[in-house]
Amino acid sequence: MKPINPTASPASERRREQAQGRKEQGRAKALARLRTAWSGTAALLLLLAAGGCWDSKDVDNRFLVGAMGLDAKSPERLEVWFRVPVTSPMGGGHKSSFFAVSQEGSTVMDAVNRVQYKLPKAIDVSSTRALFLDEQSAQYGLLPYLEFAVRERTVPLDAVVAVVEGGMKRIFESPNPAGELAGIYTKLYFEPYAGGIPRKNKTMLWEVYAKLHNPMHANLIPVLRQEKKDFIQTGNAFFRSDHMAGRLTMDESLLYEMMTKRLTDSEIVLMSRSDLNIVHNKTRVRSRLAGGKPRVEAEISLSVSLLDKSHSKRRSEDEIKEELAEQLDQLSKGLIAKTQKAGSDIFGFGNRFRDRIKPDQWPDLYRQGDIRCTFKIEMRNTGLEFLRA
Amino acid sequence: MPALLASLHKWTVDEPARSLNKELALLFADAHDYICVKIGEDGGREVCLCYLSTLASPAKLRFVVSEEAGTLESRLSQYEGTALQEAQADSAEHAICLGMAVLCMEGSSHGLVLNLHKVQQRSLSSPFTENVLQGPLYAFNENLEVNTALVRQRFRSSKLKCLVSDIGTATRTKAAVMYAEDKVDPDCLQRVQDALDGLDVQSVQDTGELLRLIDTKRWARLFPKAVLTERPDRVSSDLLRGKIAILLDGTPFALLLPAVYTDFWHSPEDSYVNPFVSVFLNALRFLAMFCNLTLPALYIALTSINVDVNRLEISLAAAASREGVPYPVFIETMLMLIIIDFITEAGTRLPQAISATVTMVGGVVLGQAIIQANIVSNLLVIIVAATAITNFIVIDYQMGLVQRILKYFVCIGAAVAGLLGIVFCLICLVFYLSCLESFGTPYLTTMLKKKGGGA
Amino acid sequence: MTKQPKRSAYAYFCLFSLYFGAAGGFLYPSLVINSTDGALWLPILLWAGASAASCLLYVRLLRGLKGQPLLPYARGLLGPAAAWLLTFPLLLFAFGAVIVMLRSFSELVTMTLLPTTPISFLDGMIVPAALLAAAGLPPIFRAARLLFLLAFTILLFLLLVGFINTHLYYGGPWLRPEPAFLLSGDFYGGSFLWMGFAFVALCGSYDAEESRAYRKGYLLALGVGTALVLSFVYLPVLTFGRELSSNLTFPFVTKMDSVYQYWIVFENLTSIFLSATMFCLLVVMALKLRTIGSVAHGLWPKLPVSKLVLTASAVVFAVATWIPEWRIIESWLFNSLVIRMYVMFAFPLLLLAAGKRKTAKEESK
Repeated sequence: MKPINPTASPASERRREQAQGRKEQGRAKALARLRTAWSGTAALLLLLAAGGCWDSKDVDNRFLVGAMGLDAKSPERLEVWFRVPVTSPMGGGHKSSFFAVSQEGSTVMDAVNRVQYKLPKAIDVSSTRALFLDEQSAQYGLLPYLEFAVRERTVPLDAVVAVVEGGMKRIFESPNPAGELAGIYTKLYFEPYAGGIPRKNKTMLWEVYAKLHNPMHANLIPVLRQEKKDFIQTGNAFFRSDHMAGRLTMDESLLYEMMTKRLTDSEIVLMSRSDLNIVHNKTRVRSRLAGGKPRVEAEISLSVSLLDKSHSKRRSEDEIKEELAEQLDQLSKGLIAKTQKAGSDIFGFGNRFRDRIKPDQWPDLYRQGDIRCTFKIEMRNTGLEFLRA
Repeated sequence: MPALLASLHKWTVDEPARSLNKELALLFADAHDYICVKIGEDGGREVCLCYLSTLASPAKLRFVVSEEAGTLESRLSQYEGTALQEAQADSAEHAICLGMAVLCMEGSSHGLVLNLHKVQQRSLSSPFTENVLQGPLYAFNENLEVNTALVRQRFRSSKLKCLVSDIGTATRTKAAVMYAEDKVDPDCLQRVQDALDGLDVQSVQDTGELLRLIDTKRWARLFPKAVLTERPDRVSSDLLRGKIAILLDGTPFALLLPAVYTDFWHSPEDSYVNPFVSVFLNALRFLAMFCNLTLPALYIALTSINVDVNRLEISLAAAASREGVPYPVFIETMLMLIIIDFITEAGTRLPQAISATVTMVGGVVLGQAIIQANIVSNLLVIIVAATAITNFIVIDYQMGLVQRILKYFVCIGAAVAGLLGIVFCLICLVFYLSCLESFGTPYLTTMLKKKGGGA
Repeated sequence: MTKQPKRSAYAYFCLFSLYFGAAGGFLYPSLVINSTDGALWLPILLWAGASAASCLLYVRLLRGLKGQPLLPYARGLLGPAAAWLLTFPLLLFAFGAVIVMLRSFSELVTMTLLPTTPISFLDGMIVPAALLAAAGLPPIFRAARLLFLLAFTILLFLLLVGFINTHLYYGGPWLRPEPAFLLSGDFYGGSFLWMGFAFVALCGSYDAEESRAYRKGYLLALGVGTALVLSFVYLPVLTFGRELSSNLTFPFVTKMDSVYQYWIVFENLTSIFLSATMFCLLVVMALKLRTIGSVAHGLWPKLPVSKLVLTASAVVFAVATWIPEWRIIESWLFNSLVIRMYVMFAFPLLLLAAGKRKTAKEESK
């Protein structure tokens, strides 16, 4: 340590005084600065209060729409349905867990705008989970009704789309069996953790919209109907450009999933004498243009396991495999013939010809196309019990 | 001690207007602990000893009040002190204030300073603000000499340098600047010394105050530029990493300079536990920092502007819990944040026995009641509680305080522009941090702690 | 400031990558998709090559600077009048770039997240960028290093998530180059993305070592950036198909809207994407403003850089707020091609030639 050496100078007193003076000045300056800082902050807060939060609307002041339904009465008049979950604090009080309103308008946005005149809170379609299209309006054409979602970004593009038969009123006004969170029931129905996904063919809004623009890929949208208590899926509707062109059964949808490699979950196939579980699916698609006609070969390999077999009859593994192959072959022929007749390429095979043809030529080419499916079936296991012929 | 007497004899008797003891008596008038006793005569002139009884211990110079017990010579020979030097009025005054005693002879303007300094200090105890779980359990106390010794005991090398200067025209507080000669950045050292020399203040009470004083840029004062620590192990390890430590007499906190942002998120214990754990802990702290800054703001953004960002289920739950709350989300959140800050502040300042009650009343009773009264939503109470807890994960007390302020700032951003507002505030924060410098070292120098030299 | 620490190649890499992140995500993809019916990667890679070539030209130029900034060097080389003429287009170029960037991002925000917030308020986000730019180049680099980590973690996540629901067969034609894109305005309009290096070259001082770090940083970032841009362009195409993608103003933004995955906590990935872009954007704007400051300082050496930067920011804010229609921004993208070409190739070539002539003259003496 340095030795302590307190040096003193006669000038120290004067210096101290100067320092004092400077300090006073400094304090005054600091005070002034503080004052400006405060007034600045105050001004900022005032500004904030005056009109700062332009897009702020608290969540309890909105009606969050769970599901929307579009029902075209005629090409000019559109009825839009909204299903709004009712929020109640501390779980109590209300009888119903949702309410439904409908509103007519010339476009969807017009209807959304008009429905505000009926309701005490702002309607907010930005978290809509499901979009229903009426079967009738699906026949008129979808495009004019869906454009708002992409252009204005009002409805989320990942909302589920479904065609409804038997009118909107029933599906919107009847309560769901499960009760809770009424509006999102449809979404949950298509959620991966719900059962039977492969045949349901979950379709999202952006897919529909993208395929509407893509002449090489046609839409396939699930069709729902409200039964007494819950809704059932009656099949899937396929489209030619934006008109509905026909239906697929649920089993055909399963084949569609196989051909488009969308089948990732396991799925049960019922046959006359035995039930199988498809545990793995691999599909190879080969496409070529032969003499101006497209030729597509889909080679579908399935790996199945046995769930149940009839006790009445003894069957071997080979017989079961053969039966399945035959059944699938029948289905595929019917499926392909149906879609070819309508000129609606739901599989998107056309995309594989992008290098070779112009997109607009595809629908016609698809009709003439030669599309074949071959099946290769492996029985992975027969469960915990042997299958003895 | 003949030397003492000899230097007494050497003084020229210059017969000034007022001799030193008179001068001192005038300076220390009205100070009841000032004592000036005659301890003998030398050549017919009175020799007296002046000191402050509260600071000096006359036991070191054992003299007896009765006349017969000894001559001046024998008394002085019992002095068992160190350095002695001559002093005039000004320096004698300072010396007395430091706890020395001054030996004055009548008719002379000079006196001899004897070191009879008696230290008032508490014993070493464990750190108060930095709880140690693993590692050395003692901390600095208020005595500069002890603190320096503690550092020296952990750093036994001649490379450890220690410069001392006085700060404060009135208090003349001793400050020690310590550094490792071979590691320190000379440029930084020069800056620190210039800053200390350039100080023009009356008093410095604490190293925290000292830090404010040497941090000259006003706009840059939001973030602490130096780590305050009371742990000698942290000081010695940081000295080895090329930092400079400033210890101040009368405070147990040492300043470690220069400090970069990440320094405030490391605890010395990080290097005592195994690296997987310390990486995990560091990640946890940064996560806590992010949560603390953004949680309330996210609540505002997601319930008032970007409602579509979270799942419909969550939005519905939020809407349900806000049903019946009369205030806008922003006001509700601000209200709750301020209340929780009240509770925190009340808990810190009170004695421990009462603070437990305060936390109880504030946290549990108030929290429950405020929901039932429908003033805030219960989702918000969860968020505010989580925010408060994440704030306590911040290691450094100074940084924790800054965080507490910053979250309001982010909340305002969220109220104006939602998620983008939060991002905007975070960007502003990063920009601000990247403009800062701590004594020549950029504040955002590195995300990772550098091994070895360099700060 | 005592001594200028050497900027590492990594710091350059971060800054340049941020440039790609800021510029590639929203304006660029639609330009590329609309520029050709053939393979999309061709225009992207062509520009990447041009960008690398131009960068190497600049590196040759910077190597000879011996520790001074580029513009005083140009002044010393050519004399004040000629230097003034040569550097004025740079100023125009930088101004245009900032204005378009600021306005297009504000526009994107109003189109997606904050529909009623006024543009003038959103344009106010230039303030922190301006302050950072006024604080100097080292803080910009420091901010870039931190924000690079933040932004690219988010972007990487988004890109990974973006691979959900993509099908390779939508991307065709893969191997059919159609030279028609060389005549398309969209192809040239997209050049703004590949100019990040020029901004950095114009501010900051260089020597041999520094220019090596600059080169390494840019070439690395060009690799990363090209991959990033390819994803920005291809992800929407592989999801929606070419037809819809070419109809969309911001294809990647719409792509982000379409992502749904059960385990992703956030629904609306667009807002996350915009956040990441904003992380990149503000740093890049600060860099551009700094460039304006440096160039303007080269033109009027008596004025301090920080004042020039703040004035320029005010001008940028005013112009960006004044622009009445989106079309104007698009037309600027197409029309400023000449200036961009000048900055990319003509300017460094001219300076190199002048430098060579000068050394030749000195040697002959």
